[in-house]
This record gives sequence, structure tokens and C-alpha cells, in this order.
Amino acid sequence: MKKIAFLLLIVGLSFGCRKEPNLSNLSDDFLVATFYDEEAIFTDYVTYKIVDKVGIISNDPNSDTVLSTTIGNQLINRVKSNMNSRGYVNFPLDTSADADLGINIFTIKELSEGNVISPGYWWGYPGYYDPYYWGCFDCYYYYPYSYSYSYNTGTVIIEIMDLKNVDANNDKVRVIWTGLGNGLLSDYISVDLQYALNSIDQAFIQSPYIQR
Amino acid sequence: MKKIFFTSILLLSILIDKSAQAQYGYVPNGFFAFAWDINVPLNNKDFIERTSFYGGKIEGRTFITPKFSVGGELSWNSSYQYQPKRTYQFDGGAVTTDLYKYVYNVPFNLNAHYYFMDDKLIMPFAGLGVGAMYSEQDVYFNIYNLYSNNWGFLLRPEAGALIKFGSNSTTAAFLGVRYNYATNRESDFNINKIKSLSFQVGIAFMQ
Repeated sequence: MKKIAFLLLIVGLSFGCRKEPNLSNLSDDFLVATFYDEEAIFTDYVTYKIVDKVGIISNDPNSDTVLSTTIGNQLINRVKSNMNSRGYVNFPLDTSADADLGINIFTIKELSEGNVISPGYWWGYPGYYDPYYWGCFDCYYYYPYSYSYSYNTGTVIIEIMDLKNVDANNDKVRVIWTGLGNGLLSDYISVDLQYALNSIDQAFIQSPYIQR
Repeated sequence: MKKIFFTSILLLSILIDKSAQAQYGYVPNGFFAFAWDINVPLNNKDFIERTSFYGGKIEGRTFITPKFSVGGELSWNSSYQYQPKRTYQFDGGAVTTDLYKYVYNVPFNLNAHYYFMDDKLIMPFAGLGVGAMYSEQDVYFNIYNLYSNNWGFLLRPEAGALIKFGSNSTTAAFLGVRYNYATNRESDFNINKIKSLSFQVGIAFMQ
């Protein structure tokens, strides 16, 4: 009977531990947020112009300030195709005709330093071989250095400005919509580009009011 | 001689049996209990509706009279729920992501219990716990985390039974069911009071 009692105790305590979700199961896709001017009437606009370069704002001193034309054009073209499919007409940036809307695209690349990890942090975790495994029973690993990890987050931001109703007296151009895709960057430009392109599509999907 | 011997054995066995029955009437001075705690949320299901199988409790009770005990208890439970990617609309915008919602509760209370059959192998009881509950709520999405924690007043009526493992055993199975009512609030996650039903299965060590 004591064996049963002990078994029940072990089972109880095993199940009783705090259980947290495995965050690695979360999607790698960018988080997509959109904001809009509730007073704007999107059906009032017909034409738009869009920038021809995509800037990078970064705290990484080694970062470029403008995305390569190849990548930048893919982002610009994706915004264009979404706008065109909603019935708006694109005016090339260098035409003299005024457009009703202006569109900015830029990216933010942020280098974030994680906490300093002391080597040995994983001591005792299953699958980690401590010195006992190597035959040194009372030993511990000594690290003559410490290090930290870092990660990059990327953000693509699209802004739609109302050029039709510029407040010339107060020098104000009203931004009537912002779409934002943000997430952890991978080690591969092609993957990050796909995250960004998907986030642009999603920003328009969740903004059905952008429609002529 | 043989007759005396067998008569003695018979008498002894009867005495042992009587003694064993008397042990059922043994009333402990108190007990400690450890139990697995399964928690079923009854409200705030927009946040988490999933039953928590990750919980436990530690409890001590002391008998004031053979039918009445007072004690204290610390318990905990945690649960999480994955929300696949969807779009959340709000005034002036929307956000699309998948996310995990997570809750961690630590109720602790003083309690009093009444035992309906204090001298039997099975000791059914009913009681009431009064205390406080600490609760954490988290929403994890992308690389971000929204976090809140709060405290509330706790009330938990309870019923259950101790089932002694045998006449000479000082251990017993602990079974319990209770309703938990806590006044925790968190407006960001639309949580207003935390109500749940919980079931305990464990072991009591009597003294």
C-alpha cells in the first residue's frame, strides 16, 4: 500500500508542476498591425504615387540606409499590386501630375542585445553532459569568458498620406493609414523578404475599407 | 498443549482483528496532504477555457475535535491555450497574429472542515477555505509578451473524503472537489473574478 501511496505522490507532483507554453511553436510570420483615420473616406481618392526607394532605419552601425533595389522593388511592387487591385491608379513618382494619395515604405532593423548569458546556464538540463559524465566527479566547468546573444527584429511600415487635402496653412499632410509588419528576422534574406511581402498582403486584407 | 496453543492463536487472531477494527476508529490529530489538482475554469473562457491538469496542493489540518479540523493550504495551477493566427479588430485598426494565452494561479487559504464519520475507514468531510489568490496572465505573440498579475480575495467551499489505506496505516487517499471563487480583476484581458471547479487526488499522512 505504501508503494501505491508513493507512486500516487510522484504522479501528483509530476503533474503538479507549473507548465508554460512552448513559444517556439508560435508562427515565424510577422505580426501585422494596421491603423487608420476613422474620418478618412477612402472612396474619395483615385490616384496615388509611391516612393521608389525603401529606406532602412537601424541602430546597427553596419546596416545600410537603403534596401537594395532588388528587394526594395519587390516591396514597392507588392504595395502597388494591392492598391491597384483595390481600384486606385498609380502615377509614376516623376510625373508632374498631382496624385490624391502618397505612399511611403520604409523598414526598421533593430539589433537587440539579449541578456548576458553566463556559460553554464544550462547546467543540469536534460541532455547536457556535466563533468561527472567525463569522469570528474566533483568538478564544474570553468569558462574564462562570458558572452551575450543578440537578435534582429525587422519592421516594414507603409504609410498612406492624403495629398488631396493638404493643410497648407499648417503645413500638415495627414497620414490616413499605417500598415506595420514586425517580427524576428531570420538568417536568410529570402525568408525575411517573404515575411515582409506576406505582411504587406495581410495589412491590406485586414483593411477592406481601402477601396475605391 | 497443542489445544492450548491453537486456542491461543485463535484468541490472538480475534484480538488482532478487534484491534484492527478499532484502528478504523483511530482519529488522527491532524494530517498533511499532497494532491494533484485539476482545475476546470467556469468563467473568463474568452481568455482560457482549457482545463488545467498542471496543478497541485499542499495542505495541513489539525483536529480541534474528532469531527472538526482547522488548517491551511497552498495550491497552484497553470494552463495555456494556443490561438491560431487571426485578426483582432479594434477602433481605428486591426492586428493579426497567432498567440499563446497563459494563466498561473496560486491560491492559499485557511480552512475549517467538518467530518461526518470521524471513526470510519472512510472519512467524508465538507468545509470552507478563505484566503487570497495570486494570479498571472500572459499573452505571448511573435517575440512579445503582455503580462499582468493581480490579487484577489478567495472563497472555496469544498467536499471530499479521506480513505484510510488500512487499519494500521497512517496514510490515506485524499479525494476532494471544490468551487473556487476569487475576486481577481484584469481589465486588459477582460478578466473579472476567477471562478473554477477543481478536483484533487492525493495522499494524506496522518499523525
